[in-house]
Amino acid sequence: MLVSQQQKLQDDIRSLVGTHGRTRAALMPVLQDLQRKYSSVSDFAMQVVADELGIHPAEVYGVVSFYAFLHHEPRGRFQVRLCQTISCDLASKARVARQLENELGIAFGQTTPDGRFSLEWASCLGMCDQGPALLVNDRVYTRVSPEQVHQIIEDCRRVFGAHAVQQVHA
Amino acid sequence: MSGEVKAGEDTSRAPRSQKIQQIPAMGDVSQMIGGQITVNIDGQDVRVPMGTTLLDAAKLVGVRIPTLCHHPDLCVAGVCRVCVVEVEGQRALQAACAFPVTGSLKVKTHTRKVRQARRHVLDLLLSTHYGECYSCKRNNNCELQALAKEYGVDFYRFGHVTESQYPKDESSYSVVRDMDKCILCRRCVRTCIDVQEVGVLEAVGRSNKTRISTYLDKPLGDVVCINCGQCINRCPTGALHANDTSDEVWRAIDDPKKHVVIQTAPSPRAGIGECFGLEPGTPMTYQLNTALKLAGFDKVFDTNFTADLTIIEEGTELLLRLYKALVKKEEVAFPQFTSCSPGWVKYLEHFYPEYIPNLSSAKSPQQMFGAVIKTYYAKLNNIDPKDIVTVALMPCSAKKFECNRPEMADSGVKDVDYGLTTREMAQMIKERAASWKPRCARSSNWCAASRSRNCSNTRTSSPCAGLRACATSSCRSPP
Amino acid sequence: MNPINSKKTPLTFDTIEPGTGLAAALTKSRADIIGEVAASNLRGRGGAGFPTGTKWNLAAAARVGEGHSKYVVCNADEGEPGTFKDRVLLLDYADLVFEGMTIAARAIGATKGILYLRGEYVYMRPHLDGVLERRRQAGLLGAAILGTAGFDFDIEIRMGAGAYVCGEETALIESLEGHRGEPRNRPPFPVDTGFLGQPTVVNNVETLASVAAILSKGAAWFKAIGTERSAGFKLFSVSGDCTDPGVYEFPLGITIAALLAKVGGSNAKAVQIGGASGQCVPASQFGRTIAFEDIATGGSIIVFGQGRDMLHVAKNFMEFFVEESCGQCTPCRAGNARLLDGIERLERGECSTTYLSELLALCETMQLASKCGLGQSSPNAFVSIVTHFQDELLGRTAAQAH
Repeated sequence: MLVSQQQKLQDDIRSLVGTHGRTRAALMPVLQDLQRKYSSVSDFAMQVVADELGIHPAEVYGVVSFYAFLHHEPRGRFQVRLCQTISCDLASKARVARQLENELGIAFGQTTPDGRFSLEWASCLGMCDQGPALLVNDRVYTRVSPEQVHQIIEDCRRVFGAHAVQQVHA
Repeated sequence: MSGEVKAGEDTSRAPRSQKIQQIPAMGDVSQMIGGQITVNIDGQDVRVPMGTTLLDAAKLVGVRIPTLCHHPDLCVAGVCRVCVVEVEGQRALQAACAFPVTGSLKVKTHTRKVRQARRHVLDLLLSTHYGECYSCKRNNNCELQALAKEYGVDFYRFGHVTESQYPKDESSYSVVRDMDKCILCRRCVRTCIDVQEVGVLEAVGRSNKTRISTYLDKPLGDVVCINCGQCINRCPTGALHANDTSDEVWRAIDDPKKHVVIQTAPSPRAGIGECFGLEPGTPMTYQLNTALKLAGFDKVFDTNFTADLTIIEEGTELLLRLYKALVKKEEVAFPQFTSCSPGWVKYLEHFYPEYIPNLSSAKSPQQMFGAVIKTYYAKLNNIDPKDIVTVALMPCSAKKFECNRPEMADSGVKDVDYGLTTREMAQMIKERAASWKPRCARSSNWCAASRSRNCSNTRTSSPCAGLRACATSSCRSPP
Repeated sequence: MNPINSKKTPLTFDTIEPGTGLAAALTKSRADIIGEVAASNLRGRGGAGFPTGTKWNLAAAARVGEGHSKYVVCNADEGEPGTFKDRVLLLDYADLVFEGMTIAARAIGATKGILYLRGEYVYMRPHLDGVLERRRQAGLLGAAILGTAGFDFDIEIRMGAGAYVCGEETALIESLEGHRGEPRNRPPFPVDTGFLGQPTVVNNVETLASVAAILSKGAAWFKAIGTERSAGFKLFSVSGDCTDPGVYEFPLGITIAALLAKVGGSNAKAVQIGGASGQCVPASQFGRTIAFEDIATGGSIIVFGQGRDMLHVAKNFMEFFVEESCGQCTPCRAGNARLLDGIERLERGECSTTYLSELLALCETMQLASKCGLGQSSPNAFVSIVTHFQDELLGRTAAQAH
């Protein structure tokens, strides 16, 4: 990591801590904002957060590793989460899953080499009446059929292309 | 760490959930007045102060409730669930260690449900507990093993892992972590964060992938562990133990070219008796000296000598600092902190580096000893320092780390080669003394001396031992 | 914004004029508000069914630390498989929910409210932030609400991060405090020692919306609906093999058969009531009622059609729990993994009856000895499926394996 990037990350975290408060209770909002902006909470970020909030880095790591929506390894710009729970399962989520793997060329739990997409399972998304449900970052897709998968991914790619410069190291 | 501590601020980093459940240790219950509640445990009534845990209440009437995650030094966790009991009126079983008495209760501690639950908890713990007891450091001294015996575990109801699931972490000079044997009681986590405030160990991951780990799962040798070994003290199983170098010490003893010198700190001399079934604190100085000679050490010295050197050095340094500050009006770091504890030194280096100038520049007694032996003593006895092996018998696992610090080599070679803990030394003595027993009994040395001391429990001087005798004796114990 | 409309019946909440509940509450004393809620016999809508009035009473009586505040937390961590009623409430009736929180604050004397929204519902955030801002502008939040001197209350939204266990109230509080979402020992209960150690009321989204309705229309009105021990109407999230999945409102006490007839699932083989932590009811018991007296539920109804493999269903549930257990206590952490292993053995046709009964005994242990509701209820689905569909489970051959 370049020093300037580290500096930027550090400044970001300081400003987040300024917004949310310098208390342990601010830990989750700070981590969530970092996750949203950088697609992961990096090793360096965890140490800075720990330092700013006066807690141990191991505790921050314990928290990040606990929650499914926080990651410390780099993740794709688009986090594609397919609901695996019963109602979506009854609605043939397995076929959608297969097609997602085919379209992205990765298995669940992996990230595409270009860093655009991560594919993972989600526990119930709360769209049980309209399954199979798919959550891409903060956008939800319902009644997803295998044929629609391609279009959903393409839409993301287009967004990515347009904002790639700002987003990738935003 | 950032953070100026304001006066009166709570600096403990224990999770709040645990802090609020910290229950102050009970004094003499019979002397307490007010707020008392009667609890019926297995048909016996007992009056306890409000807020007493069921576990403590049961102790008062002599009812033993098994525990694993509970530890008297630590805040309540209530996670192992082996201490569950039946509380009348409650659907679910309650963890006795975490259930405060706030009203009149009827408790049963050995019903079918309770016995089944305890047995299942043990079976579940054993299903992921890899390794055999006879090759474990904690064999016969393991809380899980003891409970398995108590609850008659004679087969693995839910299977048993046959392959190691985690690599052993032997990166630290002081502490070895073996997650295969961990039962996730989190005593070490609570010790490290809450008691020591070092915060190296934490629960990581969730569900059945939960493990006790360090920041980013780094090896213990690469994180801010201060090697204090308090986690080892509280581990109920063999998941944490000291990095044992007794094999290397044996190798040195067995090598005729090596001159093996040992120093003993005061504390192990008072503690080692416990490993032989004596009361903790029984003074064993003379017996230990003899035993060390019998085990094959060439020379036995007392660390007290270099402790005196340390005091002289530190005292002189303090006077010099005062002189600079008061007479020469120079900027000097005050107060002056001792540098004797390697755990404390490392803690300061990691967490409060701004106070490093306050540390005394004197070495610890252990390291002064090593330097003296490998320079002055070597010259005096005309031995090449490379052929001298210095061993330190110390009460603390951090001493193992200290002797491996790269700057601790003033003699040109490592000043202190190995640090041993009291437990490891007891193990060495047991290992060697077994075959020496008849001889011991005949001559009035270790065994006889210890026998007389145990019985009378008085401080009599032993005819055969004593620092000077051992230190100056040149004879090597006959094979 | 996702226009997701899945209401299948008109909801009583449509008939509640927002603001009337709070206005009525402000004419009452604190004790009378709690009295009104208690008189309505409202029980927690999250599934556990703790009487709301009692909870508030305890929190109102609890002492608050010097310089601290009491808290009202709305539990919108709707993670139970098959449950999505809160999604509808938060999208279409957010005002009622916030009104319920404000009433709760008035009743217990809280000045701070937190809506704990599950991470999966992040797309609702702009909408909810908008509603809160509008309420602040209208003087329904902030200092001296509706001109009532001394009644200050504001609501903050905090996001979950993908942990089902945070729906458990003490785990939710741990998460709010910046810890791993691991449930605490109880007692002490949150009403006494909750967020930041202060008295905290944690209520489900639907409970709070119902409070607004009760204050608006009166306890007697609410109590007249439903059964004796299960007062009021209830939202149901219906999914699975039925013609018309969605959110329905029924009075408590409805039979399963009647419910299935309304949703187009009469031909069902079985129904899972209460989500993954609930129980699986076979067709032979469709005469049973959904109420706290018989089968309690947070509102999740999953219909299984003829031809569904019940072992596959049990496996899906158990995979969910193995993923979502917090990993703190032994019975839940290791027990769920053993049960999943047992299900896989059944799948392969490698499970003896002896081992199956050992697993059922383990289920009992988990239900009794786990630290929180997750571990205590995670074996329910497995137990009910083994009980009712044992003939389907034993002696499988490779041909049956999925």
